[in-house]
Amino acid sequence: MLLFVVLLLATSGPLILLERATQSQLDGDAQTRITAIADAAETAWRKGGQSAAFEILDGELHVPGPLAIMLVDADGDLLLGNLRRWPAGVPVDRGYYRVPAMADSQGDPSPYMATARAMPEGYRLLVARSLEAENELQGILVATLALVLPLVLLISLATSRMIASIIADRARGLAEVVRDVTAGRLQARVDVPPGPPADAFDGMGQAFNVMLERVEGLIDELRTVTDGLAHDLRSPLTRLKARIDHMAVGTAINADDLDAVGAEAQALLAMLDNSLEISRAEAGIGRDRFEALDLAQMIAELADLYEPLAEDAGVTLDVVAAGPVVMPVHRQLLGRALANLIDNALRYGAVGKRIELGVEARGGGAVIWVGDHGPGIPASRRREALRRYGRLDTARRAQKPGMQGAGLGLSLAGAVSRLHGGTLALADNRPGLKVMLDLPAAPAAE
Amino acid sequence: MLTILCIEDDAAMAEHVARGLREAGYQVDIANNGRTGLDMAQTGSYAAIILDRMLPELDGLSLLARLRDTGNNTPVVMLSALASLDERVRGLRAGSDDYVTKPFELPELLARLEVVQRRGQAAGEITRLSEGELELDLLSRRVTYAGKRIELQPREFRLLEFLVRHKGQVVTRSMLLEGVWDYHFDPGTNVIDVHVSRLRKKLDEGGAGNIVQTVRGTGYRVGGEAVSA
Repeated sequence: MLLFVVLLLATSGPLILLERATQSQLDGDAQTRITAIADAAETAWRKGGQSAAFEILDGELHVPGPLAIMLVDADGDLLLGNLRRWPAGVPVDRGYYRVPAMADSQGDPSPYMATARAMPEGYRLLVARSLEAENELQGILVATLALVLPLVLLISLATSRMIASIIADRARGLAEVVRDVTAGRLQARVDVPPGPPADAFDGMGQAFNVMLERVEGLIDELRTVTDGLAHDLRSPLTRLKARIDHMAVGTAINADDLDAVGAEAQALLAMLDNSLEISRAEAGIGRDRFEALDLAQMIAELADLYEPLAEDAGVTLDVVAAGPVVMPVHRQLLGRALANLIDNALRYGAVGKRIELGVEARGGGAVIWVGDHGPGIPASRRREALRRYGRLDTARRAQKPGMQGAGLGLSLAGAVSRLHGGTLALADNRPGLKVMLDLPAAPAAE
Repeated sequence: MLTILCIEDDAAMAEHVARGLREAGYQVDIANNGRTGLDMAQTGSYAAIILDRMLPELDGLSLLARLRDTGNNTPVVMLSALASLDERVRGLRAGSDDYVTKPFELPELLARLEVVQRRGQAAGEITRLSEGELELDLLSRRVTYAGKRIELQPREFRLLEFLVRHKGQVVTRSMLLEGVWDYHFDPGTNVIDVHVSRLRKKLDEGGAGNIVQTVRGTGYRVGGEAVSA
């Protein structure tokens, strides 16, 4: 509707303006003309007296044309002119007046532009010009408008209808997909040709599809997490229950049993906590808490934290950093992830006697790594290791509660990398395992 | 006798906490919803408040905001099952002095409760700390015992500083990780313990053995039992 009104104004507006402009131009013309004649007559009178003025005026009258002249004396008697009487509404003040209908010598009334002035010896002069031609022009313009306007109206209506229908059509496609997804069919996607979008709607469709992929991915994640949690909590909880049952039946409760039960429960809680942080990081929660930090300093602090523990295990912790590497990161999450990795390295790679913590600037971003020289993870099993609850040594798992750490540690590191828009990779440290967090440069302001 | 206000709607949890507090020598008032809790907090005079986050009638964060708005600066330890780092930050930003996640160990809660009570009393710029014959010069970062210098690495000094600043109070491993390295996660393994044992060894060599005591099941402490204010 708005579109229609706009189109209407846009087309009829100029036409109306044109008519107005023409009118004032023609008026101006007439005014100049009659003033010139009146001036000439007045000047002639002052120079050469009454007869000189008569001559000028007479000359004008004899030229056939749209002029009307009237010269009257002080008593109002006509001395010269082609008008029968002085028209009403034209005072003797040199001003311009439109006289709607004046009967000239031919007798046909028509509109005139008139000016009147006082002449010497009490005479009065009126000079007027017919606006007939002007009227004709105006008539043509009005006729044109009368023709054009309905046409314009029709075209505007048709165009706006068409545009609205196109938009509705394109939007319908999107609306249908939204309805489908809301109803639970997460696989629904907008039908968009691949490649660069042809127009804004295609662009929107593609963006929708990306978003839907993400939503589907998150739901899958959720399923995996809850399935995984249920699976993983089952064994330790079963062990816990078994121990407690055993204690209930037995005669004495010894401190070791209680300690073991407590430790098992503690491990479960740690697992829950970690899972929570991972899920939130995967969902992108925490991006608003990034602060610019020197990563070289950060890994130095972490090395400082773990150094005594490492020393006790007979392992040296080396920090590898060429210089400061500053970029915005989530300090707490990244710190926790790296601490997990260092912990893993100490747990599984201690036999290698050396662990490296390094950071290197790369293209505006950074690569952080933790490397050990232990048994490492064979290439074929690295994918498995990265799955959230993947554990590689099933035998080891049974030994101590808390060994579930390895799987979660890599998983958290992966989630934190993704929170920063980066990736986690496992590589052969020749020998040993090298875990690398590849964090890209922060995107420019959104 | 100091009184603690415990605002917690789970009756079993409230009783558990109250019992622990009484055993530690406090008097305890309990409120089981936000409105009553806010009233009591504003009209009573408590040494500290333990505030659960999820409460009926007025949730913990809103209660805290209103309390702080009225200019009430009673130390608050917030309790919550919302354990993620973001939620912790939210809780702290809302005006609480510390944030303990459920489930928690009672000794941890008690230790932190004690620390927040003393927070308001810290004098401005402290340049020296001492405990018995142990002296720490915070400007030069030097430690002496009975006048004799003990060489400590920077992180060992920071660790000792934290312990001595909180002398008389029990300091848990997670508090140490927070206070010295500024990280909030469960230190797990023995990462903190080995730092403390290194520190102890050096103190021992310098003649200051037994300054840092182990509080079984909880953490560490410098100095004797806390003095009731």
